[in-house]
Amino acid sequence: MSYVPISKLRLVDEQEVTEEITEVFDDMRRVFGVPQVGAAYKIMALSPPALTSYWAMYRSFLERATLPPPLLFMIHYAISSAKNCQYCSSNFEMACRSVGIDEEMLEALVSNLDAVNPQRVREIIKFAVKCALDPQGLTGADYDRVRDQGVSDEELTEVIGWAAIAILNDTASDAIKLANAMSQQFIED
Amino acid sequence: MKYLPISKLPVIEEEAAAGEIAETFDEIRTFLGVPSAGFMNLTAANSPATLVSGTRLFIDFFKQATLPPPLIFMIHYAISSAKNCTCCSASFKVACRSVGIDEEMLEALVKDLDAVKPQRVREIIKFAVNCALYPQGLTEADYDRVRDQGVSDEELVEIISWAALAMYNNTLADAMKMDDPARQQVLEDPTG
Repeated sequence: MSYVPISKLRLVDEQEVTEEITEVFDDMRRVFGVPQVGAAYKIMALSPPALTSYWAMYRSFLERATLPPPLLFMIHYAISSAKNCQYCSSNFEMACRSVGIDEEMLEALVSNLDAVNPQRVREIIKFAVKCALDPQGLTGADYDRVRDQGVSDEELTEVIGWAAIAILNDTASDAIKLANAMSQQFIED
Repeated sequence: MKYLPISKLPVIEEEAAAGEIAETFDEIRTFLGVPSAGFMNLTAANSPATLVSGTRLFIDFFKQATLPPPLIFMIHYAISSAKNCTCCSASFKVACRSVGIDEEMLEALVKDLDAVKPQRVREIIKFAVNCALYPQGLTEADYDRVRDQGVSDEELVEIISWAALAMYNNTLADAMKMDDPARQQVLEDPTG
């Protein structure tokens, strides 16, 4: 049996879970196109209400999103990097690479948002990061800058909703004590 | 059409909503037992992705949660107050009162968590607030203190998830520029 250091939370074994959780895991594998369910979900499965409500939320968002997946991935990566959430930034860096985001853009997303191009993408990502990090500091000018790029009210609200999801993911991952997705060490006892 | 100040986001009219948005508003009204889906949901409805996903997160969690509603409300109120989210702290203060949380406890939740009683509730709420505000700073001792109160790993994950959900709500409300629902101002003209 594997446990996360510090929180000592256990990763559930796929053989031990209920039919409902098995269905969620199968759905995650289908949606993400991966053979394995991530560590975060195996820990969340300790609480079926936490896992099933989270997955219903995440799936509902992706099914209805009008923004393209590469933009969603870049927003999450930029927010998670700014929040220093190792697990989420590592996962969304991989997601960005999987849809062809290049090294120059990945570097800009963590080091210098002003270097992100084109301008429409830059303004959307900068707005999303401010939504996540300093939502109370948003001014009328921040919304205007995004709207000036032809962003509709539906897209604006979707960007805000996705920024809030990134904050949820970062908070949960950090509170569970998941570190870098690629190098996470688990303890057996 | 009405609009929120600052963000100038339209507030969708409940009567004019159709299809999935109307069904979601109906689900929210029924679940909360209120006559309106509320400003936050009416604004989130500009984006079906944001409205439907947020509704699934909140209602599905709440329907299945093993922690009692008063504890869930107190956690959200304490986090929202600490984060200065006017909309969520006002909404969850009302929710706390609706389940009988008294004024002394409400005061403790925003001013002095060490005054919260009993100890089990105090440790759970302090842990949840730490999860929301300083998740990277949590130490083994923080988890131990909650487990020492007989909190199971299932409950621990539920608390962490609810704290993350509170952060989601705070971010959404603040980024849309929501105010206390009881004093929410709206504009008749987005250029106003």
